[in-house]
Amino acid sequence: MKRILVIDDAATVRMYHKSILQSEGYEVEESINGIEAIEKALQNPFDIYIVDINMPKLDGYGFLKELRELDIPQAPAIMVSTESDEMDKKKAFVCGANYYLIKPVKPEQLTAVVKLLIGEVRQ
Amino acid sequence: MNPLLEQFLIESRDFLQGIGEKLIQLESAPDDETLINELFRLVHTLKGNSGLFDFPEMTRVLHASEDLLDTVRAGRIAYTRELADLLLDAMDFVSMLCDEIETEGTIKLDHAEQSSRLTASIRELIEDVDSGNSTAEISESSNKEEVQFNSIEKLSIIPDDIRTEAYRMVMEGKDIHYIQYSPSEECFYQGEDPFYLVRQISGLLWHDISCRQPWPSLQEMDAYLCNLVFTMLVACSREEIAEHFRYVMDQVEIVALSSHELEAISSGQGANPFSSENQTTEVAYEEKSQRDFVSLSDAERELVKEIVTIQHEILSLPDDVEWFQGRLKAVANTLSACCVKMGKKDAIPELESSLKEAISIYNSEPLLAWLEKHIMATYRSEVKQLTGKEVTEKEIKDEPVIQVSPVHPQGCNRQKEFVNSGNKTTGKIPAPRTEARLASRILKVDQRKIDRLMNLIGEMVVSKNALPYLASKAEDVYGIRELSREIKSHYSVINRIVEEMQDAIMQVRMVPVASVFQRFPRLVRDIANKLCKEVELIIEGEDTEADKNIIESLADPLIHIIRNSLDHGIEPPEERIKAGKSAKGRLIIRATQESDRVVIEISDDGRGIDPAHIKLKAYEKGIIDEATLEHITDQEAINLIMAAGFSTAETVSDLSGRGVGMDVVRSAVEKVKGEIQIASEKGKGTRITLSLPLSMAVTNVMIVQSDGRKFGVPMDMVVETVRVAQHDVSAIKDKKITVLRNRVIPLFNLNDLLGINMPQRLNDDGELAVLVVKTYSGNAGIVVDEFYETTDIILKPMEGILAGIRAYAGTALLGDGSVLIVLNPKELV
Amino acid sequence: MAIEYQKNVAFFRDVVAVDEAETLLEWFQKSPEAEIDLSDLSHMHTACLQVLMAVRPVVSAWPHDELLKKWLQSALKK
Repeated sequence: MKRILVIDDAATVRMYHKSILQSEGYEVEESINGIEAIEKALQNPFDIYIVDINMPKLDGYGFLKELRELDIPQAPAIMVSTESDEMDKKKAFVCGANYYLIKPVKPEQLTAVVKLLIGEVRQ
Repeated sequence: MNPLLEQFLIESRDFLQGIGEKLIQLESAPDDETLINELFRLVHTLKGNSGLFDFPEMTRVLHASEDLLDTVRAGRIAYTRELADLLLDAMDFVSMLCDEIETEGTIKLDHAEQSSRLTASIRELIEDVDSGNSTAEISESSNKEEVQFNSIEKLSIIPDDIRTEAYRMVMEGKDIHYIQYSPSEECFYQGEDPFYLVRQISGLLWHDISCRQPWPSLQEMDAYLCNLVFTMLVACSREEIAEHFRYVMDQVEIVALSSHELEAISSGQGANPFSSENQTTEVAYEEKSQRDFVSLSDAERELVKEIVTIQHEILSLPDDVEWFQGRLKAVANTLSACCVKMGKKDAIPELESSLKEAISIYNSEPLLAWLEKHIMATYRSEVKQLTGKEVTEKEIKDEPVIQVSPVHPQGCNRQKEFVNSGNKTTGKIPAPRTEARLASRILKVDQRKIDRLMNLIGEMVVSKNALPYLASKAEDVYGIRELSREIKSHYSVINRIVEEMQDAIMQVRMVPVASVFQRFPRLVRDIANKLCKEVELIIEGEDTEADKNIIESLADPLIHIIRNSLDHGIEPPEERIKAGKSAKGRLIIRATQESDRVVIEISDDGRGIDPAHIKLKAYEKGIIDEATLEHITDQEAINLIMAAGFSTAETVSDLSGRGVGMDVVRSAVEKVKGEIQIASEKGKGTRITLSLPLSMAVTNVMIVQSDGRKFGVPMDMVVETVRVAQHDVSAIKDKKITVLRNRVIPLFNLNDLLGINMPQRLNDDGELAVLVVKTYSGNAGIVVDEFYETTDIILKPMEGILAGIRAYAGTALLGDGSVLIVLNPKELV
Repeated sequence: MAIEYQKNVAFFRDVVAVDEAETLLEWFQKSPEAEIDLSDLSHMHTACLQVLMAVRPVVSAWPHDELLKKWLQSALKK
C-alpha cells in the first residue's frame, strides 16, 4: 500500500487530510513538525509528503531542504499553504517541493494531485 | 457530531486560550519578537483550520486579525492597548462562535453583522497604516461612498431572491458590484454594440435594460441614437469589470456593494429576505455544490501539464544548493509518475539515464533535455495546432495525452447545474487551473517575431489610410453619399482596432530603463577612481519603461554624458572644497514618464558651463562669426557644445576621447525622435535633459516630389509649405534666399542637395514649391517640384552601408506597396 | 436578411445586425400591431433592440437561448 506523510502543526488539518487520503485507500501517517517528519522519513521513507509551511521548530521549507539531502528515495512533495503569493511558491520549489496547493484544499483537488504524483519511487 | 468538526473545536479552544495569553503578555512586552511571531502563527493556523469548514463569519474575523498581526510583526504599526482590546474582542467572538457550533452544529446568520463590524474595525487599523499620506486615495474613497449612497434607491428594484443570494455571496467574501452602463448616443457610429458587450459579462446575477429618455413617437424615432441604459448586478471584481468595459469606462458606473447596503434596502422595504432560515440554508447549499463541482477529466489533463511545467521550472532553477541531488531525484520521480499516467512508460528508462547523467555532472541540463524531447515538445505542438487553426474542445480531448478516470462520479449529475450557472462559477474553478495559467504566464518570444508584428501593423496602419480616400471618392466621383458614410463608419472601427493593436504590440516591446541604468554604478565608480574624484551616484525611476529600441539607443549617449559630467563637470575634491562645496560631487540620473514621453535627467553639481568660454571657443573654431559672437545669448552659447566638431576640454582626456562630442549624443537622441536640453549655471552645475518618445510609433510624413521621385519629410520638422514667385527669390553672395514674414529664409534646391543635376520645376504660375523646415541653424526652405498629402508611416531605419547616410531618416512602405525614402532635413541642409 | 417580414409577423433569425434597425423601424411605422417571433434569434444589435423597446410589439415566441431570453424579457416585458 502506498504511504503518505502529512506534516502540519494543526491537528484539524492533519485529520482532514488524513481522512481524505485514507478514504482513497492510502496509508497515512502524521507529523506535527519538520523534525519529527525527518525522523519518520529516515525510518521508513514515504511515497508522497504533504507539507505545511508554517510550523514550530522546523518549518516546511527547512523540512524539504533536509529531506532532499537525505540518502533515501526522493518521493514527490506537495507544499500546502494559505499563502497564494508567487514568492512563496517559488521558495517552495527551490527548497524541493514538486507541487503547491493553497489551503483550504478541496478533497477532490488533493486526491487528484496525489493520484497523479504517486508512483514507483526509485532510490 | 462529525469527528473532524469535533477535532476542530478542541484544537480551536487550545489556540484561543494560547492567543488570549499571548495578547496579554504582549501588553507588558510589546517588542518581544518571539511572542508576536508565536501569536501570529496561532492565529494563522486557526484561520487555516476554520477555512476547512463553511464558517465565513469566523474565517473573516480571523483573516483580518492575521493581517493586522502581520502588520504589527513587520513593525509597521505599534502594539497598543487599543489594538489588543480589538483583538481580544475578536477572539471572544470566535470563541462564542465555537460554543454555538458545538451546541447548534452551525453558526446562526445573525452573527454576520457583528462579524462584518469586527472585520471592518480591524481592517480600518491596517488601512490607517497603509494609506498613510496618500490623500488621493482618501478623496477617491469618499467620492465612492457618495455614489454608494445614491445607488441604494436604485438597488430597490432588484428582486428579493436575487438580493438574498447577493447578500450570501458578500458574506462569503465575494465581490458584488452594481453596474450602470449608459452608452453614448453616438455609440452605434463607433461600431459599438452595447447589448453584445453586456451579454458577455461574467458573474451576472441580475440585469435590466431601460431607456434614458422617454421614447418619442415611432415617426420621430431615430433608431441610430442610442437611448438605452443597462444595469447589472455581477459577482466579479472591479478589475474584471473595468477590463470588460475598458473601451467605454467613461460611460460606466461601478458600485461595490457591502452586505450592509444589501441588508439596509431590504429592511427598509419591510420584507426581510433573511427571515426564513430554510431558504437561506438552501441558497448556501446550492452555492457550495456549484462551487465544488469540477469537470475532472479536463482538470486531470490540465493538472499533469501543470505539474510538468512546475518540474521544468524547478530544473531551470540555479543548481548551487546542497540539496540539489535530492531535488533532482524528486523531480525525476515526479516526472516518472506523470509518464505512467500519460501512457508514456517507454520514456522512463531514458529518464533514468538522464537523471544519472545530471547527478554525475551536477547540472539539470540532461533532465531538461529529456523533458523537452518527451513532453514539452508535445505540448508545444498542441499550442501550435491551437493557434494555427481552430481546434475544437473535442479534438483536444481525443488526443491520447491522458487516460481519463473520473474521480468524482457525482460530478456528471451536476453538469447541467454547472452549465446553467454559466460564468458564475468560472471565478471559482479550483486552484490547479489558475496556477497552470500563472505558470505559463511568461512567454519568451524571439524579437524578430515581434518586429515582424511591428512591420505588419505598420502596413496595416498604412492600408487603413486608403479608406478615407475611398470614402471621398465614393462621394465625389461616384456620388454615393450613403456608401461614403458607411465606409467612414467602418474606418473609425478599423482605426480604433488598429490603434489598439499597435498599442498592444508597443506594450510587448516595453522594457524598464533599469536595463541600461544598471551598469552605471560600476561605470561611475571606475571613472571617478581613475580621475581621483569623489562622486556619489543617485539613480531614480529605474522602473520607468520605454520601447526596447529607445532604451537601447540611450545607452551610448548616456554613457557619454556621464563621462563628460565626471570628466569636465565635477571638480577634483580640493577644487570643490575651495569653492565651498562638499568634497564629494553628486551625479543624479533620474527617469520619469511624462505623458507619452520618457524624460531622463542627468544632473551634477560640478563647475557648470561657462558661456563666455564657449563663445570664444566656438568663434576660434569658426563655428560662429563675429556678428553671432556679439549677440548670442548665454543659453544659445551653451547649446553650441552640441554643434558638430565642438569640444571644450582644454586637454582631451582619454575618457571623453577625441572627436566625439556632444554632437554625437545629440544626433543619437534625435535619431529616435528625442530632444535634448542643456541647462547650466557656472559654478553650480549642469543638467542635461533627454526627452524621448515611449515608443517608435507611427510617423506622420509629408510626401514631396522632386525630379519625378517621391520623398517623405517628417511632419514634426515641417514648419510650413509656401509657393514663392520666382521674382521673390534673391541672392546674398552666392546663396539663394527669400523673405517670409520679414525673416530671411535660405533656399536650397532638393535636387542640388541630393546631387541630382536638374533645376526644380515651377508650377503654371511660375512659382516655386518651398518646404520650410527646422534645422540646427534656424528655418530653411527646401525647394521641391510638388507637395502631396501627409500620411502615417512606420519608419524603418536605413540598413547596411546606407545606415551611415545621415541625410536619410529611413524608408517606409506605402499603401500601394511602393517604398518611400524619408529625408532628414536637419542633416540634409 | 436576418429578419423575415411576413404579413403581420417578423421572424428574427441568427444575428440581427445594426443596419437592419432602420428597416425594422419603418416596418413597424407601417404596421404597429405586428408581432415578432424571436425563437431562432442568437443576437440582435442594440439598435434593433431599442426599436423593439420603443414599439413594444407582442412577442409570439421568445428565443431558445435561455440567457438571451432573460435579457430580452427584462427589456420588453414591463
